[in-house]
Amino acid sequence: MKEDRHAIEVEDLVVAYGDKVVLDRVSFSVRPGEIFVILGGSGSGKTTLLRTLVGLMRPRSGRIAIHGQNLTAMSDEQQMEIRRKIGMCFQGAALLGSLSVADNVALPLREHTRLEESTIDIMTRIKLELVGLGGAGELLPSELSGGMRKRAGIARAMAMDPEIIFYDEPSAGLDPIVAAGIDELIRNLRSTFSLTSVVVTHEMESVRLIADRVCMLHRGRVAGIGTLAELEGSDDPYIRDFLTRRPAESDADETEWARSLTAVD
Amino acid sequence: MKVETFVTADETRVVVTGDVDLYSSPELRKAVLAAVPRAKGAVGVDLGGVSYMDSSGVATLVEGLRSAKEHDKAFALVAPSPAVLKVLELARLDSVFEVRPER
Repeated sequence: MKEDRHAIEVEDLVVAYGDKVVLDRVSFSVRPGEIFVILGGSGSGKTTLLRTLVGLMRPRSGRIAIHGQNLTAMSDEQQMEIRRKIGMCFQGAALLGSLSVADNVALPLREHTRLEESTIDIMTRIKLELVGLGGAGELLPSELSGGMRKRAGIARAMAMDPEIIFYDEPSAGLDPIVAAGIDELIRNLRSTFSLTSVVVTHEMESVRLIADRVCMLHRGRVAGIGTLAELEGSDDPYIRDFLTRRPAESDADETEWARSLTAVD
Repeated sequence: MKVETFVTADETRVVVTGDVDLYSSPELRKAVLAAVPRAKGAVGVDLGGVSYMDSSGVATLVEGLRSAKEHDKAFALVAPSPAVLKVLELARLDSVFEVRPER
């Protein structure tokens, strides 16, 4: 397999909903095999960034390259080829409730390959074993705990043997012990498969456990990129406040607020 | 990926080279599942020239092993490359197969 200096390169990415710019000239690169965390508060643009990276949204401008291939200059068909090497683990696992766990994991293989059912069955069992759900293939998603659903979502993201995997808030809504188990799984998959992993989260405990490097987003812009230790030593007041969980001071103009409240038309 | 089958009196050897992935593994499956019932002796899958193998390749080898058991034939992986050994280990299936390091 070709060795690339960067698994993912993002340059001057601008994404907007109508007139509202949600991501403003975002640039970063992800090294092969690293766990790269995109961190930010509510409304920082991190979910939009993830959706754009996996092709669910089109940027207004800028460049996204996967293993050196510029996705933004490609047709949808060409992008599909690249995206087959990408796995996406959605926040709520996004399992189909009417299908068993095994059928959920097998779904991408049935949709995108011409493999025989007997091959798909063995591959599915390998993936379920990999995430610790070896005996749960016949269960329905509704019969799984929150942590098991996350694991099933990860197994499905791994179905096509991706080179890059994206996780959207993988430990959100889980108790600390189950969340730590998911973090450990993310680390194990990375070390076992040299899997490039991009994790969107706002959970600082997870960041401490899994991140090689962190990209901190604030109001749609990159506030800082580096190891957690480097960001903790940052002079940027927002980064320091976020990492120490200090409430941000309101930057609203109080005079303006009072005026708007008492104004007479 | 390239697959060739060589038949001798005591062994049928399936020789694989290149990348075994989601798109090429059906061809390997076809060759292995055709070789097993026809083999007069043991079946060996030569994986020395495999540069990359994903889980569809592993699953294909498991299918070959199952078929060999059904037909009461010996089934071995011959000279598997480091890429093959790694993926078998990752799938925790390295101990399931008879592995012959030498060709």
